[in-house]
Amino acid sequence: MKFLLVLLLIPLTGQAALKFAMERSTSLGTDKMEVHDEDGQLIIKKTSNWFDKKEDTRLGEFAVQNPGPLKVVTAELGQIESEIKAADQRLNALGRGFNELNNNDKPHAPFFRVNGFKVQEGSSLYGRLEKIAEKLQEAPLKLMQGVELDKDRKNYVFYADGKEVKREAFNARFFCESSRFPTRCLAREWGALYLE
Amino acid sequence: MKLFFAALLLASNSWAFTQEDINANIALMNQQTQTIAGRLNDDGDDCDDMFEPLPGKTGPIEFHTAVAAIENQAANLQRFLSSECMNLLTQNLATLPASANARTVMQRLIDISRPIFEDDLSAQRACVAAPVDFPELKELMRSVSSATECGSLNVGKAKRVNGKAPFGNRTIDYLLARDKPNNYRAVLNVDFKQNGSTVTSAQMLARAKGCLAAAGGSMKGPGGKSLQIELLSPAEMAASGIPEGNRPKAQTVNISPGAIGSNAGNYQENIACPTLVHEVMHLMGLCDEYSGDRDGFACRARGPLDSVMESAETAFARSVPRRVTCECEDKDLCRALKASPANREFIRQPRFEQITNIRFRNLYCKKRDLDSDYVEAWLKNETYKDQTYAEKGENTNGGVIFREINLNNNGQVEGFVYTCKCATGNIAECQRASARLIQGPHESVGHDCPPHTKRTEVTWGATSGSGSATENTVTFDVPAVPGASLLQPAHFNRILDGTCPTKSTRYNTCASFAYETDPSVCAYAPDYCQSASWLQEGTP
Repeated sequence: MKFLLVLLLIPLTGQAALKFAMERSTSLGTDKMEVHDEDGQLIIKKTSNWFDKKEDTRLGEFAVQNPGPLKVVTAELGQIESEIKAADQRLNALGRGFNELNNNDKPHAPFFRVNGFKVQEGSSLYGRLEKIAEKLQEAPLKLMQGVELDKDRKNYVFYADGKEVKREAFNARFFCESSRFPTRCLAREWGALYLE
Repeated sequence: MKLFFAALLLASNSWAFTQEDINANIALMNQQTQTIAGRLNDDGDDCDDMFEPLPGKTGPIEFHTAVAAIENQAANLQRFLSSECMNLLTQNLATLPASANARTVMQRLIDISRPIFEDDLSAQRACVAAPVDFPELKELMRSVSSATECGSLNVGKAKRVNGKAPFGNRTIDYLLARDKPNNYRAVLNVDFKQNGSTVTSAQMLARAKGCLAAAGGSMKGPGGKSLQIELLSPAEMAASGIPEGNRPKAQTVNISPGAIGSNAGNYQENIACPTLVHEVMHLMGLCDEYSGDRDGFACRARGPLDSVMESAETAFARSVPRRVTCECEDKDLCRALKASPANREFIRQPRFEQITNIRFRNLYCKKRDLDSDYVEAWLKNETYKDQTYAEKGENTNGGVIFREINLNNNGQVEGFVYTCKCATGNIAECQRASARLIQGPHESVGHDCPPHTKRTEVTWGATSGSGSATENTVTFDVPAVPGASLLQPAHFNRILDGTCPTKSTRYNTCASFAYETDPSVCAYAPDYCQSASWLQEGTP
């Protein structure tokens, strides 16, 4: 499952906020690619490069630079959300709920979250959400707040308001589980990078 | 409708059907249903017309026979579907457009999975009493169940542990054997699934077996008990000679490559022993104990840092001895180590990144060089006999200043200082870790290898012999912390107590909140779930 979730800053006038995420729980933190609504605008937050389809060593909050093609995708997401809500209502009538029926047999498996509803692998909706995530990977992202590991892997470069604000020497022994790649490294408060 | 009929077929001796059989049966049931629907749409009331034979596999079958078969398939759901499969099926049925048939099957599945006994934790939390229609029957069922689940296991005997895990929506299934009075063995049937990885399922199983064998000496319980865990593939289980009724069902463990083609794929393929063992513990009914805040699990009871369900790496590092081979970044360093036993002894004392875990360093600490004057003074100062020194730091809110001297890539002495401030995050956790660094003793919970070297090989388990150094590598043993166990006392007892509802009550209670997402439910969690004592249940 290889995804890069790419989203827009789109003012959603006359439309309920849509929140979408891909997540995976680990003891060192949650690998997450998330879209959520802040004051009517979509914010993209990435705490891990786990879901990336191509190499990207940036974590944090992003803006999408070419939002046009994504309107179709967000419409499809809205449709899926409607279907989940309808399923939840049908289950409520029988004394159950959609989230309540999620299993805990794979605590560390990736899953999707659509406006609070958790969709696990095996769900009839999972394949459609995978395709949506694949479609979203084309638009370029601009890092607004967060961190980037530079190409030489010598520095963490920290950003605020889209601009570099400070640097910190990257030491694999200090930040990573192993000094030897591939390994997982933590990037201060911004999350985890899986590095080859 | 395909989903509906597939559900019915799934439970009916599913191992006897190929996918082709199932597809053919779905098509047949669709045909039968359409035939019935057609007859119902006709205005006639003639029973003979209604009950004409229906299409069958090998020819027409009697109408009532077909109806009975459908009903039989539905009844089989109760016997063959695991609770996880029932949940998923119910969820998927709910996504179908409003359908009376789907609703009927959903209702049936929900009724099957409703709790039977009054003391179900979910019912208690919701303050909903289970129906009390036949109290005597319930008590009898409870007694019979308890005798099987809760009875002591005699030496030389084995029993199958099969039922619901304490944290709900999960089934556990393993064979528990008592080989000697204090020696237990658990056997699981595990099917590793490798999706697109270059590591095969067989290789992953072999790796997991090796990890568990190495960790076997480290799984200790109260009263001197010990546990070994054995994994068998489905084929090995079938050939094991274990009576069929005692054979656990195969459980799938996905060790698939990560979502990243170039990033996480190889990481997953190199999955280490601690993570593998952590996953096996889930199969045995243990829940996660690391913070659930990020995942929306508001009520999770935390474990200590050295719990295998909180931080598997830390737990392994403390409790499982190993031999490590470390490659020098620069040959000059290894030459210096090879040439001088004093140099090898100099690097033996674990340094900061060997005695701290990655999370602590990342959240609270910064690293910088010690200037050369300081290092020189250190070497000359006879009171500084060790290579590390830790003290309380000013303006660190209970943090620590940790200084160390090492050998650099040229075999010369260098120094670092680590400043750890407990200003944000889990301040208490930071302060505890800082206090341990100051007071000692220091335990190897981080990197195994000294600075400027990288681990190339690790052999888990007790080893003998002295270390060695070559021009490229240095090899030495990392002992376990004396008395350390990979399992907390409550973990150990929970595995032995299996699905018995009257044992491991503290563990079961706290674990039931591990994946709870409704914050209002947290109020039902007992106070002891917020202290470390819930994992000490059963300690003499």
